[in-house]
Amino acid sequence: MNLLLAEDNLPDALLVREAIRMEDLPLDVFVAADGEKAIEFIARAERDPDAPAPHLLLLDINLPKLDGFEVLKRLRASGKYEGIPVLVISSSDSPSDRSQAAELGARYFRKPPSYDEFLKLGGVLKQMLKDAGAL
Amino acid sequence: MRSFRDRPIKQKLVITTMLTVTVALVVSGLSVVLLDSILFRGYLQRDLSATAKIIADNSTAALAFNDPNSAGETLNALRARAHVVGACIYRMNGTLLARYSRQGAFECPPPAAPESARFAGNDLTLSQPILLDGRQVGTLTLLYDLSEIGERTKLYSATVLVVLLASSLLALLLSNKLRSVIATPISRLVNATTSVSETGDYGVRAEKLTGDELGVLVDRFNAMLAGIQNRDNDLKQALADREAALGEVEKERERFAFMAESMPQKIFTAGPAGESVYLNKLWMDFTGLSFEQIRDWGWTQFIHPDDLEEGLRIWRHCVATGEPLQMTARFRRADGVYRWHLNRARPMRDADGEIRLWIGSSTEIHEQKETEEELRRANDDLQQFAYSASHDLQEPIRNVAVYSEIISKRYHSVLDPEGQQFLGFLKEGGRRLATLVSDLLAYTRAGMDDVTAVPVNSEAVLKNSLASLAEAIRESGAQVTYQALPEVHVGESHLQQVFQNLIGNALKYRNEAPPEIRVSAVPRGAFWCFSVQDNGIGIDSKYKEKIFGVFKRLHHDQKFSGTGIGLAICQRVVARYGGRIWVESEPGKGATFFFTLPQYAQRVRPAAVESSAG
Repeated sequence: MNLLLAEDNLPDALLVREAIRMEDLPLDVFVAADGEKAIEFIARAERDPDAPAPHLLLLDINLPKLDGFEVLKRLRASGKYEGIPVLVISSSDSPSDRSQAAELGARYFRKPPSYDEFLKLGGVLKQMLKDAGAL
Repeated sequence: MRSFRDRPIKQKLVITTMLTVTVALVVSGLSVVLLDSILFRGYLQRDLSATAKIIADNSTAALAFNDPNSAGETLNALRARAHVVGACIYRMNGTLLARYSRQGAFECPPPAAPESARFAGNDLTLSQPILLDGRQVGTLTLLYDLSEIGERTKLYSATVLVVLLASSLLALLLSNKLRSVIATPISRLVNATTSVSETGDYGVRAEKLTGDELGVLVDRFNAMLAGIQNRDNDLKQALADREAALGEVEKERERFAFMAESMPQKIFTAGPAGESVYLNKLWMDFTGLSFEQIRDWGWTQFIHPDDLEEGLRIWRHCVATGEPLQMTARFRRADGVYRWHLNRARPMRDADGEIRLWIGSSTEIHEQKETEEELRRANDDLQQFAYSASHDLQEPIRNVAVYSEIISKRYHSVLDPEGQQFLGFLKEGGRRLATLVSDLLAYTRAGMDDVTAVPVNSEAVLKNSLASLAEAIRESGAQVTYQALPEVHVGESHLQQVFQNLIGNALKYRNEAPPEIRVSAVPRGAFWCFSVQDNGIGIDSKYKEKIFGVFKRLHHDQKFSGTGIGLAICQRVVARYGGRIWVESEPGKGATFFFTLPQYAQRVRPAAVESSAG
């Protein structure tokens, strides 16, 4: 299964990989460093059957070029992958960000300033895969 | 000539009396004269019959002896009766035996049978048979001159006339007297009424001269006058009072007008329905409009179109509820430039609590408003900067915190003890910095407009807050209870921050026992008063105010770690909606935090004002 990680901050991307590894989740991680690249990945998957398809989207809000919510809105309107599970990750714990994510059918994970806390992301992803019937 | 009806009563009395007396006397006089004439005729007839009978008896012998001389002598006895004109004695055969004549020739009336009396003209002719032993032997005739009756009638008439005159005189005198008894009291009454009507002096009284109906009339009239006088006095007093009050009102009005005209502000008064009734000169000077143009609702012409709807809404609300007016609006100056004004008005009520008048002022606050606006913009910029800075700082700080932790875990063994200690500083500093920035972000967010400031269900918000705190609640074994919570007009994220901070504190500052937290709300005026009660360590009363300041912490040990911003955020949020927050607590006995939030929508206060207050 493929996980599309839209994240411009390399340290965070590494932490996400680490969380996945710790939980030993069967996920291949593709990283898009900005919003446009994330949209391109999805678009290519829609066009090209040989391109990797996103089964799970992990989306940072503060992305260059196109922010996370804009990416999410386009995904929800895309057709083929509109229903895939999405987890919004952000440094912010703003209630409005949380509610906006919920409105767009995404779960929300606040990036905590602690390693152990961050690794809990793995548990959340595992649960999402279970919910999606992939585990 | 005046009719009898219109003559004065005293004349009426005289005329009536005189007329009555005259008519009575004339009628009775005539009756007496007439009756006397009739009676006298009867009496004369009887008297003359008796004389004739005597003469007849005395003439019997002369007739029997046919002696004319003797008969003549007998007849001469009639000389004593002055009005007997003449008399004759006839024999049975109708021949004359003797004759008597008072003077001159006398024609004897022929004998009439048997005994008769006949009045003719001024004469009475009487025939008397002369009897001898019951047998008539002759006839005596007498002629009587009735002029005596005429004299008598004249005498009587003269007497009646004299009596009439005397009676009239007496009646005149009596009527004068009567007049004084009847007419005088009436005249006095008339004089009194004339005096009252001419002078308007209700103190005048009619003099009571009699105890009869007129006396009663005078009494009643005087009583009526007294009543009128009392009412007149009351009326005069009331008028005087009113005059005095009006004078006072006028003076007050003048004082008010003088004061209002001397004020540097624009002053207005408005009626209970909100229409302007007075505007001082500054209004006309400022707007360049006339009083007639501005009065009533004329201000709607020169208020800024963007402020019109809100201005009308607020003013109508005040007029309907009696709440004092306070609003700002831009008014157009004569040169077309709009200037900000602060408008205030308060209602004046009468004794019944009804609004009689609104008195208000409009103060030009344009410079102040501009300064405020600049300050607000500067504050907004600063806030935006603080928000962006704290938001953007989160990522690098988190990187420092997390990766120092990773180094500490993975590369611990390759560092010497000093290096390990330094890494510990880095790790702890990063962690604290991350928390601080996160809290600072929340604090700046609390001062920003929440575009979702529509009615929110506080119970739903509380549930969200509890979900965010789920792990801490589970770890502490806390029990959080709440009753049905109301809708409030605050931003959802703001309210969630308040709940989250207060409940978070209740979880953090706990005793050994599992936390018991109770959330409730009761209405208080236009606000809901929320309370968050816990059974934690409590707060010393001397820190009750201090704890709401930024970076104010009471505990420095690791057990109660924190940045000291949580309650400052709550304070900032609550104050922003016009509410307040306070705590009631005793050390060791738990704490109850109260905060009030508006039930109804209101204008959100600018952050600049709030920050200067907090």
